[in-house]
Amino acid sequence: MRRTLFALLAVTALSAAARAPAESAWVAPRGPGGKPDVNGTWQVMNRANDGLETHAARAARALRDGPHGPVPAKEVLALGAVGAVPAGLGVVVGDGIPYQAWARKKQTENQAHWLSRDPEVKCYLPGIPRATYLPYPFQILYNEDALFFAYEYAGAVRNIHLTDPGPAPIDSWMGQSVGKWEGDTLVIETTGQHDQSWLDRAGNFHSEALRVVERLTPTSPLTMRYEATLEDAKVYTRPWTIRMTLYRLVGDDAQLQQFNCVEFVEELIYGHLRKQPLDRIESSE
Amino acid sequence: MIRAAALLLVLLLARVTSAEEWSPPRLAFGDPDLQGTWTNATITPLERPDEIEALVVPPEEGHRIEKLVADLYAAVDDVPAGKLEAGEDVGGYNTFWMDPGKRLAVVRGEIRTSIITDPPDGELPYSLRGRAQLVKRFWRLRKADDPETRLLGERCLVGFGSSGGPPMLPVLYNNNYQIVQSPGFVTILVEMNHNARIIRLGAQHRQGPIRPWLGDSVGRFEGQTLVVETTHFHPAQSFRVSLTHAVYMSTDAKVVERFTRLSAKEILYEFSVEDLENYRQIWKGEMPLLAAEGRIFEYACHEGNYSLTNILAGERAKD
Amino acid sequence: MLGSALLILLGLLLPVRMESHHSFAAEFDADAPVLLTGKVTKVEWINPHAWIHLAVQQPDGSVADWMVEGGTPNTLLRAGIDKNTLAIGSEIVVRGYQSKDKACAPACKANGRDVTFADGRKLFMGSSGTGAPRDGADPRERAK
Repeated sequence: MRRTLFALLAVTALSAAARAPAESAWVAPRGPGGKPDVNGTWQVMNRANDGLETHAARAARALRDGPHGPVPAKEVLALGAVGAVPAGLGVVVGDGIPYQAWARKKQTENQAHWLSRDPEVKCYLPGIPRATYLPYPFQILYNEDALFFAYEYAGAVRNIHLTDPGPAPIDSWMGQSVGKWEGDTLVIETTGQHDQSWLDRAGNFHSEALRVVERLTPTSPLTMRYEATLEDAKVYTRPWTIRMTLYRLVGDDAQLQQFNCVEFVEELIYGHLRKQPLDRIESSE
Repeated sequence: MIRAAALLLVLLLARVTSAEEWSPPRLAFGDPDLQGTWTNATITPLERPDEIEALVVPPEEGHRIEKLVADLYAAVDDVPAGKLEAGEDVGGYNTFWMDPGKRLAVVRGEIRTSIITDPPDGELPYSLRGRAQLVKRFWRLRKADDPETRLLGERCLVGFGSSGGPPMLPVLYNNNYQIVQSPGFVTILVEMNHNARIIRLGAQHRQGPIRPWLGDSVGRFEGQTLVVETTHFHPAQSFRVSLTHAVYMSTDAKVVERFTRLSAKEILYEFSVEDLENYRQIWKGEMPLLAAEGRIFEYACHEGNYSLTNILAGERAKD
Repeated sequence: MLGSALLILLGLLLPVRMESHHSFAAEFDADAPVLLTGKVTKVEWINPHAWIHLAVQQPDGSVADWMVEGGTPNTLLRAGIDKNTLAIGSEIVVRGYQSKDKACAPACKANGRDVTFADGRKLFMGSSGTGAPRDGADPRERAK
């Protein structure tokens, strides 16, 4: 009995050992410069842009008090279920975003005023890391001398320096990124973002002191692990990390369309200045 | 024997270092290397000024023209003391904001007075229809009833004029382009308006109702030269106006660009525009792309666009 | 003056073209020239135009907030300028024209037709030359 059990355990252990290396043995095919080939079109399949922290489904992004709980704000009411927010698992490693007390209050307030405050509503450039997990694809174009990310959303671009040019001379929407390879992981450090962009549609935010370190590691022919560590002593109590999967688009899906949304927000931003303004709902925010 | 070998070596070295033999290095995946940050800033305008007959001028004349333009720019900053005069042109701003280039374009060793080489008179060969369309669009620009009637550059949809083109033409500033190559693609980042032209190598044009900003571009290498064909432009991109050029083009115009790297610091940029609705002939131009000092900086336009608000509000204040 | 001379040289046909590019004629009021002296309170290094904010002392002792429109900061960045170059508190003099919209919200607006330090030095450049930064690695320039 004991010998049979021992044999059974031995066989199980041996077959497990035989199986285990198959996953960790995958090596990304080489691209330019002998590094993993991350050229291609990528997109997330999660709901991080709706909120980095776990969130239940709800009626709308802009809500007001109803007789039995929140209901959609009047500006978005007509959208019905199309304007509702699906549930999303958090992508924050650990317990959630470690805000300083004042900052958590500000995030809650941001979320309550989402319509008037979220820069995505006005088609403003998304900043890093938000550009990664918007519901639009992006394309990585690189060889050993250059590394370039082109995003479908608002035609945002990121020209990633392979040699550190020193501190960014001014702050910008997409910041200044410096990239290097650590083994098969592409590590990108971004500084020089100002404080105007949000991290998602839930009002999560940062200051101009934000430093983001992203790590992109191919994990299979069609997936890449994406991690970003955010450090900002003015807003958070400690650095924190988000983690998600990037999926490689294939076939006809593997191309960017253009989402030059600047045109689409002209009525919103400039409509009141038309010679003959059109009717509009007065904002409740 | 040794002397013969030495002579052979000298001849071989001479061949390698001779300027005529220069060819661009190849990237690991075989494509000629066009990468870098390039500028097309030049005081040579798209169309030849009326006072100048020839496409090519000798160096003394070139220097005279360059000095004349330099003096004109210096005069911009030479503002007399005290308040400005009422009723005058409001003007713009100091020249330190501008970067139009200081030199005339030199192509194949020739100092050029226009970017246009064909037709030989250096003028856009508008047909009657084309000129009528141009005038109509200028006329519409006198008012500011709605944002949609303003220039694409003012609306921050693409850059001013034909900065992103194609053809990519110089304007008053930010005349910078970064070329990044990867297998199957050549990407040109146009500084204004942070537009990335992602050119698909060996691909077919996309048909159908989607018309991208800056058109649909496909490319191929012919020897050392990158040939890019673009058509299927966005409907709003017909009217391209800047300080240095005013172009009206059909959205179905076909633009062919050729990029040939001549040296470490120069690319020859040639282009042709086929639009027989608005022009009497195919027109062509040439200019150098020179290695730029400094890098491309973010041109986030829409996010800080007080100007469009001010234009519309200003007109409403007048109404 | 620059307008007509440059137009002739560049063979442009319609005067409106120069204005169209900048659209300053649409934004600013040629009948409202201003001469402002004040201390810089903020610089917005943004595109399409940078804006320099200054606090202008009024004759009655109050302070008026003005914002003055410049050009693209990218040119200056390539010339080595950064966000600290124009220090808060610097005293500057602005000649320009007030915006047609006189509402002064968030601040009164003017174009920075000419902006200098209070002592007359031009901003961001030396005292001589055209001031336009280098336009590229033109071999003829190096040979000069």
